[in-house]
Amino acid sequence: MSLFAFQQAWFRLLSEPDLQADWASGEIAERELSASEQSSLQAICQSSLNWSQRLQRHLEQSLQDALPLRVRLLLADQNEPFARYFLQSKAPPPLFPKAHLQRQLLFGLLSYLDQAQLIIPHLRDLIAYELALSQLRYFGLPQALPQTESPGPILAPWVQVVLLGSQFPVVLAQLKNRQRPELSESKAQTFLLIQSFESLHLEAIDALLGECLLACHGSLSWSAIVEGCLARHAELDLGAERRALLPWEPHYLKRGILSRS
Amino acid sequence: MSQTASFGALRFNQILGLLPWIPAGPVCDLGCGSGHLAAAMASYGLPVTAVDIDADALAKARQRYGSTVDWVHSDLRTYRLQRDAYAAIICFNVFAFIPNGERARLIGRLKAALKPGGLLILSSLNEQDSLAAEKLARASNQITRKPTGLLHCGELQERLCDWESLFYFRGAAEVSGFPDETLESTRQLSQIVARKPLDFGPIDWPALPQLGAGLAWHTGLDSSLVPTQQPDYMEILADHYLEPHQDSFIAQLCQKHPLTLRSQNLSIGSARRNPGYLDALQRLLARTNSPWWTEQLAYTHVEGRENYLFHALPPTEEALEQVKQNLRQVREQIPTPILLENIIYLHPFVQADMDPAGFMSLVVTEADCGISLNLNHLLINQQTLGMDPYAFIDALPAERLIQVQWRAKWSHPLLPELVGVADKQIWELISYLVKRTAVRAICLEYSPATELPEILLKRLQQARILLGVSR
Repeated sequence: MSLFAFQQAWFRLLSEPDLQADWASGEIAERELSASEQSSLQAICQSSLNWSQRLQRHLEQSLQDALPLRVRLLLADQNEPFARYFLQSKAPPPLFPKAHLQRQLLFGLLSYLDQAQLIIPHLRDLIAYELALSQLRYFGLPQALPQTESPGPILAPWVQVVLLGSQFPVVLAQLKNRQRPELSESKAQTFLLIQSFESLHLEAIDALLGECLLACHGSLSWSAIVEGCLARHAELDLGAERRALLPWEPHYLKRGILSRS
Repeated sequence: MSQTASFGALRFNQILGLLPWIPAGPVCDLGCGSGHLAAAMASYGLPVTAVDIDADALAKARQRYGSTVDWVHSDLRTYRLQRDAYAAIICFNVFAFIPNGERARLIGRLKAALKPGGLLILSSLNEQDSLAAEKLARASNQITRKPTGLLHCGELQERLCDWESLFYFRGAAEVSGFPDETLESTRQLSQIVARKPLDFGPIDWPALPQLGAGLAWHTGLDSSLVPTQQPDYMEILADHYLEPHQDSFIAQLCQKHPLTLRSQNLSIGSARRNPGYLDALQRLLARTNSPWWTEQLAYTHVEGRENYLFHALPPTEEALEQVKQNLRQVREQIPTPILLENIIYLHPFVQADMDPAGFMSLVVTEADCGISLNLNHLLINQQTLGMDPYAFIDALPAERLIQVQWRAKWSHPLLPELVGVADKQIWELISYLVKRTAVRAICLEYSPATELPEILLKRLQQARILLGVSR
């Protein structure tokens, strides 16, 4: 326990500059530290007052580096302010798993955009895309468990339903070439983000179909999902829409996008 | 071994999803048929041999997929499989064509042919497929082989009971490829994916390879930037490549250079560590065949706190016990030798139980680790704390000093004013080390953004001369 307490105290010392002076003068003491650890920390404080600022810069840079390159490109001169905002609002999350860190940063970025009332064209679409990307799991050990058999279809873990601007694939291609997109934002379109063995691509689909696919967790049959979806849209011609939606299940089952347990 | 079966049979996509868990090494698809799976595995970067007795099917597969796969026409009962050689063996829907009496011997041969950590992926009809015998007998009129083999229920689990079972299925599933009236039909299958136990014997330190002069590439690697006069090996930062979608790139890199890994997030000195990291590291180590891996004798996080820097442990008895305990957990999961790297001491520990060299020495001897000596860190400790680098080296167990690391242009985020050490001083240190220790590799860290490749090449050559190795 003593080593753990020392490590915590050392990290606290680095991240909270105000503590250093008090600690150096011995005005505060950590009860869980031994006398040798306490005196070690006091000795360190006397020579480390400028480390906190350097550490702050290091953390800001590390967090910026952890953002996807495309996001950094769109953020441009807002990269540093965002990193500062993120660090002030919460402690830096672990570097691993990388996908988890990126998700935390992307959610933090959404809050930052709201709070700063910033409008950066395509950035919110890009964040939605990156968040969907971080959820994709094409590679994985096959699921032997859990053992509960479910009656309905399940959306494959290598497919995500995501709402983006209809021109987003073009924007993405430009960002890939490190060009800032010049297109203006376009109306929303539902896409399937598909990570197959060989490629990653976006496939535009009907919004109602996207809604149905999002509900494919295995507990409801496809027809029940379609009924539920149509019930939420009183304005639709139920017969026509139902006829249009029902045949999609075998299509997606055949492609492996939907599966049954 | 798990005794419960999955409700879902392995689909083609799921088999592809398994590929990242195949360690480095050759893969064999026995009874490859149309060759779809063999070709997919090859495109993932695996060296694949595909064997089938059907010459026509092989000819079509070869025509369709080309020579990325080694297509072999052979009866798999007589096909020669080397012992402990394969990273994975796949045998899908083939046992039906193997007479019942020969199956046990064949499975035994497959088990022996896999290397430790290798995957065996088996699937075939079982005895619950009530019409199988009749259907297969009918089909046998059309082919020369006699399809009389049906797996007993539970047979695969029994035969692989001493292996780690990653997946098991027994039940009805839609399959294709059997000589049947329809292309696809529902059959009763038994399937298993099992891993051969790893070899956790004691580490034979003198047997580690002499790797020569290597290049450490700690930013995201663009292989087009590697100098044409190649290094003897490459050290890559594991944390950039832990996700399976990077595997194809790693496979390509492995074909060009021997690889070693350096990890950054193990936090071997933490009293409480992040879970999950070790699993991802284990997978990547198996994929790269790295003869060792490196991590700093430090901690990067404690529970709930993180600052992305390496911090020295207090050289105390308690820290020693904590590190030994953490290293024992690592060794229980990863058989690859770990080299611990010496750390920068940002400050002296006032009342330590031992000096830093003594601490490191005890850790490596008592936890069976090697040392990767970072010369930058050694010389910074000399500048800040007055530690004598030669005395530090002399205090370490010479037979465990396996690798030396050095980066010409480098600074610590908290000590940016401490940069630049004269080349002469470095080479004198390396020369001293090579004469007195078991150093097998000199790793030069390189940043293409700040250094010319010509200078790097000179340094690589000088390192080779000191080590007495030639290209």
